[in-house]
Amino acid sequence: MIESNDDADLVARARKGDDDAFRRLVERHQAAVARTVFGMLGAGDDADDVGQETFVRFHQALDTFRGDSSVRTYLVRIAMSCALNALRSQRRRELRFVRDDLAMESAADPDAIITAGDDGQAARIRAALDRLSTEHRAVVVLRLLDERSTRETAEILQIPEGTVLSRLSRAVQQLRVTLGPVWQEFTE
Amino acid sequence: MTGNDGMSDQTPPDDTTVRAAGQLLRGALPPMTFSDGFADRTMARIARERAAPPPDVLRFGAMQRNFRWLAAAAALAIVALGAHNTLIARTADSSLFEAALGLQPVSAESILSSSSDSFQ
Repeated sequence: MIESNDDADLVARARKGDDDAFRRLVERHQAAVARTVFGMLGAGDDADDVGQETFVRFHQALDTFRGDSSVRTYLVRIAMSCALNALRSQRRRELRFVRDDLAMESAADPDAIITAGDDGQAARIRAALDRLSTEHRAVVVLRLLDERSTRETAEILQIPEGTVLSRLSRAVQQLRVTLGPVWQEFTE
Repeated sequence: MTGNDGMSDQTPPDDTTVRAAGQLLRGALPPMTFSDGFADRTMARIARERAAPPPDVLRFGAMQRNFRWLAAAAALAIVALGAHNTLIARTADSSLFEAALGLQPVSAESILSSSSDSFQ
């Protein structure tokens, strides 16, 4: 099923080479793609690049897009895949060139409460997200940041709903420990 | 991304916790939007990629060029080896073809003697 007549119409026109129609799709869905990409990668040059890559891939796949899922869900799935690829590349670069003591310290003790380099709540929360494994972070981004249902999250990540729930449970547990009082103040 | 964590012993967080956690994250993190002109940049990139030949074509071209060099080098090596065999290793009772390939002259006696050697 296609999300709305507008999206269906825009996709049909974009398939025929109408760039204005595709631009409308970009403008309409860039916010959802941005939440996924920024949630997974944080702010930076990579995020913009991955956002563009998402729409380029969608453009290339227009002919094969059947509308089984909504345009937004399809785009978020592509965005997640691109973000995971970018994270893998980042990790390879870091392994090759960077030996950051702080990163090594946090990798050694992922449950430690974040205090080092604390320049505000946003930085602390970003650091806590970055400490989650990519699998758990993906669930947190879709379920908590993007407010997707368990079912949609499972559809996007192509995993069973039970796996979404167990990953969410583990991620929330880790965030609770890592953020300590900040988490408690807000959620309990 | 597939997989099943098999975490049946973990209770999923309730809706209130999920909502509160979502509010905490969304409220604390900076706005998650692309900078101005994102659509322009994206459309420009699509136009660039449309104009450029697809990577498969580039890869095939590079393979073709490399293969030309490899094929020429292999042909030269075959000719040089054949010439070497013909000039250096040719014996009186071998043909030019056998000499070029470096084949030893074969007779019934040599076959029988080699097979009886292998049984011992």
